[in-house]
Amino acid sequence: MAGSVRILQMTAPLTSADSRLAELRDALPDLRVSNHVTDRIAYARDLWPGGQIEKLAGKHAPEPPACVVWPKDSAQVVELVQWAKAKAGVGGDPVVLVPFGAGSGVCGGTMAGAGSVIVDLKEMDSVVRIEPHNNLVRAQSGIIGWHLEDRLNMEGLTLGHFPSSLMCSTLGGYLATRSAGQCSSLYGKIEDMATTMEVVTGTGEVLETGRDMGGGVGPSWTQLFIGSEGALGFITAATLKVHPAPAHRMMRGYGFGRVSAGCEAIRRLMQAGLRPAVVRLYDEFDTVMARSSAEKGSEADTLLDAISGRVKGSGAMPWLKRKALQMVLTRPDVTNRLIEELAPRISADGCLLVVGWEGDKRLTEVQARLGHDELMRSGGKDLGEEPGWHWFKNRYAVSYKQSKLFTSGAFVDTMEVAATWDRLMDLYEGVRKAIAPFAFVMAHFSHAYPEGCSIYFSFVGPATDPGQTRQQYDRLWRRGLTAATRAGGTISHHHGVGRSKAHFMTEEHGNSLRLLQTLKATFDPASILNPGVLGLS
Amino acid sequence: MSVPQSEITGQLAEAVGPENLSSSPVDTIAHALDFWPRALMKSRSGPWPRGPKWVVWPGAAAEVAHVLRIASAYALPVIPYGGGSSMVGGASPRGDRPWIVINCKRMCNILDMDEVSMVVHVQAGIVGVELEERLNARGFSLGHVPTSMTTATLGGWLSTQSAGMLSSRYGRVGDLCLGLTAVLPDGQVVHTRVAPRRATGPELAHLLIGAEGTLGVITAAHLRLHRLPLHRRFDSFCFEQVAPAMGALRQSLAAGVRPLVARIQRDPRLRRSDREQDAPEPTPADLSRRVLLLAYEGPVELVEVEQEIVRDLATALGGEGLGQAPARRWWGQRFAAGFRMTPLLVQDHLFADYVELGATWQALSGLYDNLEEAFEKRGWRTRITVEHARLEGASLGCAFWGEADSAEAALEAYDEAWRLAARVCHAGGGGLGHVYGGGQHRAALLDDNAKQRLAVLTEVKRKLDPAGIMNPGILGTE
Repeated sequence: MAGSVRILQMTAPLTSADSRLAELRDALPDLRVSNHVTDRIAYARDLWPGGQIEKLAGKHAPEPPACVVWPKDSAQVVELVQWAKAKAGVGGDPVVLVPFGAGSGVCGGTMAGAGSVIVDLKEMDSVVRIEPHNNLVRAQSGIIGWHLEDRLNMEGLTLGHFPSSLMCSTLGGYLATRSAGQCSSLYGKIEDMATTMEVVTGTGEVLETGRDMGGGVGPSWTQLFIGSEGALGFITAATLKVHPAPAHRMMRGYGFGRVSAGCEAIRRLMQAGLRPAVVRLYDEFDTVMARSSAEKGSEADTLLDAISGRVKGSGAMPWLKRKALQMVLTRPDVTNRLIEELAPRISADGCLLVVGWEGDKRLTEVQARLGHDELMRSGGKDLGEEPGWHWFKNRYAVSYKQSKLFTSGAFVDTMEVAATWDRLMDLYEGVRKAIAPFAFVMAHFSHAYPEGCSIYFSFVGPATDPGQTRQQYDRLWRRGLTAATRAGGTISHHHGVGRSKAHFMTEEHGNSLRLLQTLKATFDPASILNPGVLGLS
Repeated sequence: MSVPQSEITGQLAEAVGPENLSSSPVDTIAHALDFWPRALMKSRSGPWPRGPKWVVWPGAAAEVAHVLRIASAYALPVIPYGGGSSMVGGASPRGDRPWIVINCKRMCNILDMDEVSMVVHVQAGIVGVELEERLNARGFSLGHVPTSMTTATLGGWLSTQSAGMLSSRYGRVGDLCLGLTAVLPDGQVVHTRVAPRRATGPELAHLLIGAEGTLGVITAAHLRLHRLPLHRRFDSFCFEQVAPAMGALRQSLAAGVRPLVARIQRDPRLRRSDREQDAPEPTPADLSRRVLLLAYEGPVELVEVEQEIVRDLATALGGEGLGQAPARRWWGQRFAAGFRMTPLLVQDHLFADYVELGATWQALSGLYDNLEEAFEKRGWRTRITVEHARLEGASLGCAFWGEADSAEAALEAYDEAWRLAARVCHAGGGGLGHVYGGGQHRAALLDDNAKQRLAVLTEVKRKLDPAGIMNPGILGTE
C-alpha cells in the first residue's frame, strides 16, 4: 500500500485537491466528503481491464479525483450540481462530477480525471416502495442489485435482472449502461424493466422521466436517460417492473456439432414465440470452460486444465500449468488455430447450448416441451438436465476470478457485440479473426431475441511486458470493434461505451450522433458531467 | 418577414417536382384539418379553417430535406402529414404564417425485407393496412393494429408512439422499431443504426418517436416482425363488476400469459342491435356487468395452457365463462368503431370524443368508477373500455358524447368534459394521453410532471430547430 501512496503523491499533488475540498465543505456543509488518500485511490477508476493492465505496471491512480462525496438524497445531488455549475461559470479549474455506483464497470465509464469529484451514490440505497399489485418497485439508484433482488424475494417477487456483477453493481449502474442479466430473454434488459426514473440533470433540474405505468405523451425521456452513462444527469431513483418469483424452473443442455448450427437453432426457438429465461450457446472452446468444474478452482485453473490437461491429454502440476499458460499465450494465433483443429476432440458433444425456462409451472413445462422439440428438430443432441444445472450453480462464479489471471501473467477482457441474425455469423467470424492474433479467444452467444443475438467474446492475452501489453491490448480492441462495425454489428450489447469505446461512437451511430450531442447540450450545457464517456466532451 | 410566395412555389416545385406540389383549393382544403373532434366541431358551425399554402408530396428523404431547407430559409411552418387521422390536432393548422404540409404518403415502399431476422425496412408514408397486407402476403405480421389501421401511416404511428389493439402482446409501435431515418429541421438526414439491442448510449430513435413531428420528419424505419400465427383462440368471461375483471387480467399477465387481445367492456349482449325485440330493458345489475374479451395466438399447446391459466384465475374471481363467441364477435368488428363518431360530429349540437388515459392497476378501478360517475352526473354518455393491458397497468378508453342547446354550447361542453376528465384523471393517479399523442389539444391538460417533460422537449427543439419551423404549437412547443 505504501508504494501506491508514493506513486499517487508523485503523479498528483494533494494541494489542488485540498483547496477543492475546502470549497466544497464551505458550499455544502452537510455533504459527506473525503479526500483521504485511500478513498482517492479506491475511487480512481472502475474495473476496466485496460486500467488493470496499468495497475500491473504500478500505475494505480494516475489521475486521482480531488475528493469523493456521498450525497444522501437527490436534494444533495442537486446542490452538488448547482455548485459545480457555478464553478464552471467563473473559470479556473473546471469541476467535473463523475457518478459512481459499485465501480464494477468494465469500459472506463467511471474514471476520475484530474480535479474531478467522484459522486458515490451508494448511500442512496433504499427501496422506496414495493407495489405487488402493480408489479412495480421504486428504489433509489445506489442500491446493490443483490440487495434489491433480496428485498423483492422477501415479498415473493423478482426483478429478473441477473448480471454476473449482481453483488458488486448498483441499480444506477445498470440503468446508466443499459445492462443485461442472464435471464434477459424472458425479463428483458434493464431498459425493458424501467418505467420511469428520477434524474438530476446537469442544469440542476429534477426530472421524472415518465409515469409509473410508462407511456405518455412526447418522447420517452426514460429511454433517453437509460444508457446516458452519467453524461446527461444523475439517475437517482427508478420505478421498475417486477414479476412473481418463479414457481418453477427447468434447465437442460443440448449439443450442436457446429456453432452456426446452434445459432440457427436459437433463432428458430426465439422466432417460434417461446420465451426461454436462459439461452447460452458456447463455441467450441468456451464449451470446455463451461462444462468444467468451476467450483474446484479459479478460471485460470480451468483455462489451464483445458489447455494443458485436456488438450495434451494429461494432468499437470500447478507450476507446469503456469508455464503452459505463458507459453500458449505468447503465440495466441497458434493456440487459436490449434484449438480449432482440436475442437471436435475437446468436446465430443460439440458446442453446448444451455436453455432454461422459469415462471408459472404450467407455462414453464409446456414451453420447455415445445422448446425441446424445436431444438431436436434443429439437430440438437439432448444432453439432459445436468449441463443446464451445472451452469445454473456456477452462474456467478466467473466474474470475481478474473483477477487471478491477471496475476498469472495474462490479461483478460470481454467484448459483447450484437447483430441481427442475418449478420450474426459474419460478426462472429469477423471479430474472432480480428482479435485472434492478440489473444486466446472464445465466445458464447447469449441474450437472444427474435431478430438477433449478442455474442460475448472472452479473451486472454499475454501480459508479461507492461508497456507492450497495453499497446497490444489497445490494438486488439481497435481491430475487434472495427471488425464488429464492418460486419454490421453494434459495439456493445450491455457493458456500455465508457471511455474505452468512446472513439467508436461515430462508427456506431453515424450522423445520428448529432442527436446525442443535442441531448448533451440541452441537459449538461456547462459540461460538468462525466466528460469523456460516450465520446462526449 | 414577408413571404415571396411565387418564389417559394418555384423552389418547392424544384424540390419535389411540379407534379408533386399543389396550392389548389382541393388539396389545401383537404389538408386543413385532421380528425380532431374539436376542430371538426368548430368547422361545422363556422367557416372551414384556412388550409396550408402549399402541399408537397416528396418521394424520398432527400426531397423532404430540400423542402425543409426552403422552409428554414423563409421561416415557414411545416406540418408533416400522414393519414390525417390524428384525434388531437396533430396536423391541424395554427398561427398566421402560410405553411407547408408535407404529405408523406408517396414514401410508401418496402425497401428491404430480411426474412431471416424478421425485420422489414420500410418508408414511413405507407398506410398501415397496406403494410400489414404486404407483410401478410409473405407470411409475416407487424402486430400493430390500431383502429386507424386503414387511414394512418407508419410515420404517424411512430410520431405519436401509437398503441394498437394487440399491444398487450406486441407493445407500442416504438417497441417494434429497431432504427429509423429522419430529416432534421435543417435538412440533415440522420439514420439511427439497427441492432437487436445495444448499450451505446441513449436509444436515439426515441428522441423522434413520440415527438409528433416537432423535431423532424420520420421517413423510414426498421421494424421487427412476427410470423403470421397458425393458431388463434378466443375466450370471454362475464363479471358482476369491473374490479374482479381487472383482477383476473392483472393476475394473468403477472403469471406470464401474453394474450393477443385483452379488453374489458360492457356486456355486448346489452347492445341494442343485438337484443331481441321484446327483451326487457337492462337492469342496473346488467349495466354494471363487465365482460373480459381475450384472444391468444402462438403454438397451440402453449395457447391452451395460457387459456387454462386465465380460465382458472377468472373463475376464482367469479367470472362466468361465455366461450369464444363474444370475443370472436368483437374481433370481427374490430375496425368498425373508429369511424363511427363522424356522424355524431356533423350534427350541430352534439359533441363527442375519446378520453384515453393510463394508470397502474391499483389506481385503475377507482379511476374507472370516478370517470363514469363524473360524466353521467352531467348527463353525458360514456363507454369505458379497459385496453392496452400490461404487467403494471392498463389504459382506459372513455368514449363520451352528449347534446347541447347550440353549436357554441356544444363546444363549451366539450371543453368542460375534457377539463373534467383531466381533473378526475390527475386526482386518481392516472396519466392523460396514452394512445393518441398530445397534438395541440392535450398539452394544456397534462399534469405538472408531464408538462415538465414537454418543457424539456421545447428545450431540445430550440437546439435542433432554432427557426421553429417543425410543427410548431404541437406538444406545447412554440
